Amino acid sequence: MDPINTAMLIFWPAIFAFLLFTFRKNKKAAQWANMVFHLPWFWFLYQSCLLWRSSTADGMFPIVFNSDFFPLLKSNFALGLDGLNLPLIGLNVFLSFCLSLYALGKEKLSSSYLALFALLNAASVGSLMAADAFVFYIFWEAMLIPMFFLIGIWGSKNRVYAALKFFAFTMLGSLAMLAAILYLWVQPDIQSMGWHSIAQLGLLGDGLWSPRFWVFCGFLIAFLVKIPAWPLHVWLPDAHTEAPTGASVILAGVLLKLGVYGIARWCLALFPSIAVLDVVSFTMKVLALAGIILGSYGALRQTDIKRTIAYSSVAHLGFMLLGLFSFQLAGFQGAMFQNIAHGLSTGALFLIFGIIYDRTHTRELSDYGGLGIVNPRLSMLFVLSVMASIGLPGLPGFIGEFLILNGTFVLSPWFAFFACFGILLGAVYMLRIVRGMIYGETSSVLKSHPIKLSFSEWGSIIPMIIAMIVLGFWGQGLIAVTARASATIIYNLQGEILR
Amino acid sequence: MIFEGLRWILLAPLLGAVLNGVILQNKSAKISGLVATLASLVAFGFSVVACSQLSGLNSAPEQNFLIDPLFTWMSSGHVYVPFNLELTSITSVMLLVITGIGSLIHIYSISYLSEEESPWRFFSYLNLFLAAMLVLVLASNLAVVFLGWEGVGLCSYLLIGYWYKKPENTAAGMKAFITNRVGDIGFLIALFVAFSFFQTGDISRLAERVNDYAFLSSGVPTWAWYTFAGSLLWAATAKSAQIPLYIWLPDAMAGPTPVSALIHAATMVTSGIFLICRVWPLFAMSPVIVDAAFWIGMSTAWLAALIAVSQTDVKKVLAYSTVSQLGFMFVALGAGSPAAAFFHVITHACFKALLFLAAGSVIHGMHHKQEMSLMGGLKDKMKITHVCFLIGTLAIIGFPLTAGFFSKDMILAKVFAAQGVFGYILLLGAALLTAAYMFRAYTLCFWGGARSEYAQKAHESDPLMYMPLVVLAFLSLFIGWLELPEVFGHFTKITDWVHSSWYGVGVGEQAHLSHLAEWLLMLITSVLSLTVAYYSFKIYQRNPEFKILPEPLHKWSTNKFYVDEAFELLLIKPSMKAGRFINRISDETTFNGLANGSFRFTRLSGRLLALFHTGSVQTYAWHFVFWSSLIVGAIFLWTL
Amino acid sequence: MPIDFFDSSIFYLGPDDWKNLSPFILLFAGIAVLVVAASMRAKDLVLRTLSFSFLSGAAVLFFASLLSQGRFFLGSSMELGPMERIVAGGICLIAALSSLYVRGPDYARHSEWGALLLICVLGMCLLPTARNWVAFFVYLEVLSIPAYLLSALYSNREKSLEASMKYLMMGAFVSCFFLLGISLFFAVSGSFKFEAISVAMTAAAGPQQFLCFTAVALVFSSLAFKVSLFPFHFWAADVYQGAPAPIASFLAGATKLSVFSSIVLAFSECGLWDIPGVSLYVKLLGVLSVVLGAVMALTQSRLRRMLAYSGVVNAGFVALVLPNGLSVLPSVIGFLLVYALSVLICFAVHEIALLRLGRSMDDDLEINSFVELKSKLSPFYLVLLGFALLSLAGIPPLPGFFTKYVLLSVLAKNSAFLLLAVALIGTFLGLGFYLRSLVPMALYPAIDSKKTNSETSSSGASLTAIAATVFSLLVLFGFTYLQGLISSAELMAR
Repeated sequence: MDPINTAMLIFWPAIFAFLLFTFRKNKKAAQWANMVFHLPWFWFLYQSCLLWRSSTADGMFPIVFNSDFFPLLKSNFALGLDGLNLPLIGLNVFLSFCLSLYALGKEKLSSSYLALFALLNAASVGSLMAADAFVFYIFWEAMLIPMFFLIGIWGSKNRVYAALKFFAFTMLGSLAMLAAILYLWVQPDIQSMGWHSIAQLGLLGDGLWSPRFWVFCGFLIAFLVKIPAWPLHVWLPDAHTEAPTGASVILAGVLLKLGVYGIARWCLALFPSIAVLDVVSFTMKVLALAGIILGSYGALRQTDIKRTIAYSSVAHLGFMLLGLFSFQLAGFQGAMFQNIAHGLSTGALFLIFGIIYDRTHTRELSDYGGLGIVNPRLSMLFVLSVMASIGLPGLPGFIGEFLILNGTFVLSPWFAFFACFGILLGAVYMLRIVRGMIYGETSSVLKSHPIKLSFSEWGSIIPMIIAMIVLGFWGQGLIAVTARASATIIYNLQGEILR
Repeated sequence: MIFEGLRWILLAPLLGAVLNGVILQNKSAKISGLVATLASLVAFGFSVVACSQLSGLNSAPEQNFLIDPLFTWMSSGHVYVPFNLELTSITSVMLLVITGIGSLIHIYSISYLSEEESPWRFFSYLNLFLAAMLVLVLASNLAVVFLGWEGVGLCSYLLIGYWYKKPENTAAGMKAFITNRVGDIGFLIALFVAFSFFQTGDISRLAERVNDYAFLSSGVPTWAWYTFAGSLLWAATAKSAQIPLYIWLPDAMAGPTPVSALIHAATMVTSGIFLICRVWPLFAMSPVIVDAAFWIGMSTAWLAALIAVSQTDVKKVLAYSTVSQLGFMFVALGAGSPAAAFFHVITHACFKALLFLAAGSVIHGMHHKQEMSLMGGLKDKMKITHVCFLIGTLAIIGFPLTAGFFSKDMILAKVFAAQGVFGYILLLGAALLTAAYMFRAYTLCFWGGARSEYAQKAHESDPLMYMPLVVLAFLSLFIGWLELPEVFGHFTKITDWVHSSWYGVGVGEQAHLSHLAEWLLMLITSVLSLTVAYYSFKIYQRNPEFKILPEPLHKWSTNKFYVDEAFELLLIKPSMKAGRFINRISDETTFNGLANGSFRFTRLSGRLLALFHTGSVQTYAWHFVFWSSLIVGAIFLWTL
Repeated sequence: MPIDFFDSSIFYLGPDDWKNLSPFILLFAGIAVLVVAASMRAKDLVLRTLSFSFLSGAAVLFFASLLSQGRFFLGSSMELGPMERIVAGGICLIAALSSLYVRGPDYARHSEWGALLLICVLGMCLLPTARNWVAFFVYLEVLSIPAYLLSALYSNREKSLEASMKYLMMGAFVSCFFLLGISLFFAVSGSFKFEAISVAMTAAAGPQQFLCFTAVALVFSSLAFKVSLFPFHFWAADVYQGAPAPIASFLAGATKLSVFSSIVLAFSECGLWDIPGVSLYVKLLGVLSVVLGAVMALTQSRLRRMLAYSGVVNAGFVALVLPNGLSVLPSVIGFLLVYALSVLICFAVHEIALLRLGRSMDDDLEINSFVELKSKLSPFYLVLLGFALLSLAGIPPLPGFFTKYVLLSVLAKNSAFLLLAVALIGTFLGLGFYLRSLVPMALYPAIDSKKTNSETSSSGASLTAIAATVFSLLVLFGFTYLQGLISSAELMAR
């Protein structure tokens, strides 16, 4: 159970990406190899879970793997593992496994697609585990290139515009983070760029407009673009609609969550005194609320199904942002739980719709209708994941939203009240989709393109649905995982509030 | 006292739902119906065992409930939600009602759905509904009640939209779900107040908060009490279809009749009132909200009765009569007597289910025609349904010694005690209207000549359908005996059960009526309602198109007072339009515009600069000199 | 007291002096051999092997001497410290790699390109070692005159001749400015040696300071012409497009590396940075060239012209960092080395593309005509070009990011946040034009036009491309070592 397993969590997909590049000739072998490659990855995950559980380090963000080999002087390749990033890594591995099942037998998904996908996985797990500001930035940016090519090459019609827009927005955000890291890098009294040494960095001064505030803003902007928070969300609908199924599932399931995780780890935990300033927390809550309401209104307006689901993730992530800035343990853990819940429900939605899209090649709601007659089992699963995404109790979405709103209610009741309308609007636009797609007479498109799922496609959806149902009732297990880490963060935040 | 049996009550229907929904797909109505009925009968059996266990238990008032801790659903910070089941006296009665009537309706729907093409879906949703309702009733924590609350909302959405081929059915389902969701926001607010101010979600500990003096003086802001009670009332108005949010119930008739019987008459719609009865000590802490409940109930009773009078579809009449009866229950709550409300819930469940099922068998006999104008003269063709429908009608109008008589009079007595003569007269008016429209429906359906060939060919449904009718008829006759007014001797089972379910927290009782007053009240109500019933029976026998209401009111009433259109116009359309507009402005023009605009701007300035690159050496040299001297000059001035 | 232009001790070379001068001697020998080979009309294969071997030999000697010898003085005209050795080694490396793919019929008529190349390399290696302005001017001319000739190699093509004529005219024009500048230096300090000038500069006051400022402005603008900073960059696009690919890539990378490092050494040696207005002047040029260069690059539709303007932008980045004294040198060297290697890869792959598409050698490919490449070129080269472009754009895990990061950290260290913002905006715009050229190659569906087999094989160019990638990766991992070494060498020297 030595720490090398945790490092292998990152390097194993990278290694396999290069191996996949060699499978240029036959696609079938590449797809099967990609599916097989996930098994050792699960094993490494299991080992890291054992390592995490046995580690009794009480401090925040215990370092599990540290090697000083790195080109730049002040930073070393440190990886940390705790309650916050373990569930997300698990979700990443799980979603990628389901997608590898989905990819079996797909004519379009070549070996370079799978290789880029493995690279993307490596980069996202890397940025989740990075305990060093510089390593975090490297993996954060490294996620861009594979995602850019995944959307750009395998997307649908105007994929180039969407890929460029995605790259430009995220790059803009991460340049702000680069400026912040640069500023920290040149500080005289900073020993290393490790997460802990930044946490103890004293001199940056406190209060509004102090250097610490600017560094906090640098990090925050990068994560707000990634989440996406309301004003910076215009890239998401394009990226989601144009991305191929696998890419949009991973984008919704893992990449957006990195924004939330980033805020929790690199903004709230590192600079609690700034996060607690009422100017900051108020603007963030307003942005979150705007995200919820306007995201839902955006979803209401769309005729394209994938765009509606994209806008719904804007609304859901608005909830998570609200939970993060509620400065309550319930709210924080709710946000962390919603990370996983939203990943599963929206992932399932995109996967199911992707499967249908592979056959009908149209995303317009008006073309659909009567899926319930054509394929009742698939429509039942679709309705289940829709219910999960609108937060029906008994499915994980509810637990996350309930905890978040409970947390927000303590300090800012009015925000919680207005956020509830997000839940109402969520039901409206999601049921509109269900009614348009599942119920009514069978539309001509569905008659001409029969939806018959292959065994591997069923194999890719069923685990997600089971995970959702289990998480709906067994949620406490996941909440307990994030308990210790979030308790310390909230303890600091509330300490700052009292000061 | 720990009792492991409670979980089986819940698991049986859940298992039935999974069996039907996933494993036994595309089976005939017989098999899936059998499985579903078996599941609900098992649940009924277990609940009988549990109730006997409860009644056997005679410990101190605080402890006399059974508890079955399952697991912790959520626990983070100030939010601790254990998923425990709990059986108090009030829940035991509700349990028996749900599982009892549920099983009867399952039996009934086996034959009702015999020729449908995917009955397995219906039975799995029905079982899922039963499970959700049982969670709602048995939950010990308000958040778990909310799980049941939304679960029933989901099942009613699925069941209303069962015949999903016709778009208006799915529209009705969606309308029901969304209106319920509006109510759920209220429930959520109540939960947040409970968790942040009362630090608990458990109903038992919430009730104890009322007389825990230390807690009361520890500075809980008064607005907390009011928001808690107010938002609970808001949730109840949505679920129990009261004035602002009742619009979904009449449209819910688009679902099959057993659904309307079970969900939209007996169990789901009464869950709002049941919830308020359970947390009554907290609710009573804010008298303003109690009065609000009274007036909401009164206005709903009147409005629904006025609409029901002019409806031509038999199920719509029954739907509006349910809304009106629910108004009665709210009035009882508003008059400060949850016992009367609860008693009316029980009796109403029986006779309304009976009426709906009878109407169902009529519709079944008439090949799915629901218009009363097509019916007529069915009394000799469908003898048993006719008798049962008659018993149901008598019960609902309060024919002496029937269930309705006792519960309605108890409400009227409580209203008289609490609100005085004026309130009593208003409610009496509504009761009389009920008698009028019920007998109108009865005579139009069963008396007079057959007005269409469907009516001629109507035939009695098979035993599987009228057996439940007979049982329900028996129930609606004798269930009233559970709670006799003082005049007939002291036998107040329901009040004891309701009061004992508040974990020993005593709540002040209203003024006591003298015997004479009670006799007088009973006499007036029964005489008046019988005369109105007789007259309406006579009139409608001769002239089916008779309009009870004067002309302008009649037209309004047939169009349901344009409430739906008003909602559409004032609330839904503007918010949708505003939403679309805001989104277009915020997303399309500003931010997208900004993103694309900045890209185009750089492209444009690039082209502008390209003009300088003429390619001739002379211009380059000129540039060289011009720029270097310009910059040097500027810096020279700058550093002076 | 007679004017002492040079130290008289110049001519007594001690035994270890020979070891220090051995790389230069090797270069001189190379030039001689190549002149002879040119006169005998040797085939380009011979020329190529000769020049590659001499250049790589010199590079090896420079890097080897890094470990052993300390500083070597040749009067005030040359001071060979560890920094200068690294710069010279880098230049010889770039020259060696770019000489690999000088191939095709056009070069046959001008077989003297080898000699010219070596002379130019000699000039570039000597430039940073100059310690007096006259020597500086001589090395500058030794460097630029062969450059003008080299850029005219395609003598039968009118565009190439026009480009080199422009380069020559502007070059001459600019060297007058340079001479005027150093004469002003002489007027102020009475000597050309850097130490004397630095003493005079500190002593200067009042009107004297303006005189110094104009001197510095003149000198710097002529050097800015060489590295194509904003107001003086007009020549760059035409020469990059007109000159043959290997020459253009060599000029782009090597001149920037040698001129910028010599600016840093010379200006800090003479203490010119503390003259009021000089650092402002340099920074202003930097800002202008970053922003306007990027904007210009965005509108380009041809690859080599776009690379020219990206050269302007990168020169702008270095100019932003310059006025912070000698401590800036390691990051400047690292940044420009990686920049040069990446440009080398771009030009090499562009050359291969020209061969595969059967276009004439001096044609500049439309960026969106890369679409046909997909079917013709093995994806390995596309990955290489992608690697180079993204490294130029500064996307992490690629070497370009680390060097740019260290460069920008200098800005952050001196809390020049406005400049940092400009640099970041420049990188963001850089993202625009680098990615835009990636898009047609990667994202558009492949149009399968027929595969033409050109007569000259492209093995040379592919060799360069591969070697350049390997070296840029080497720089990445060697960087810490490089930085450690430089700072230690720095300590040792002072």
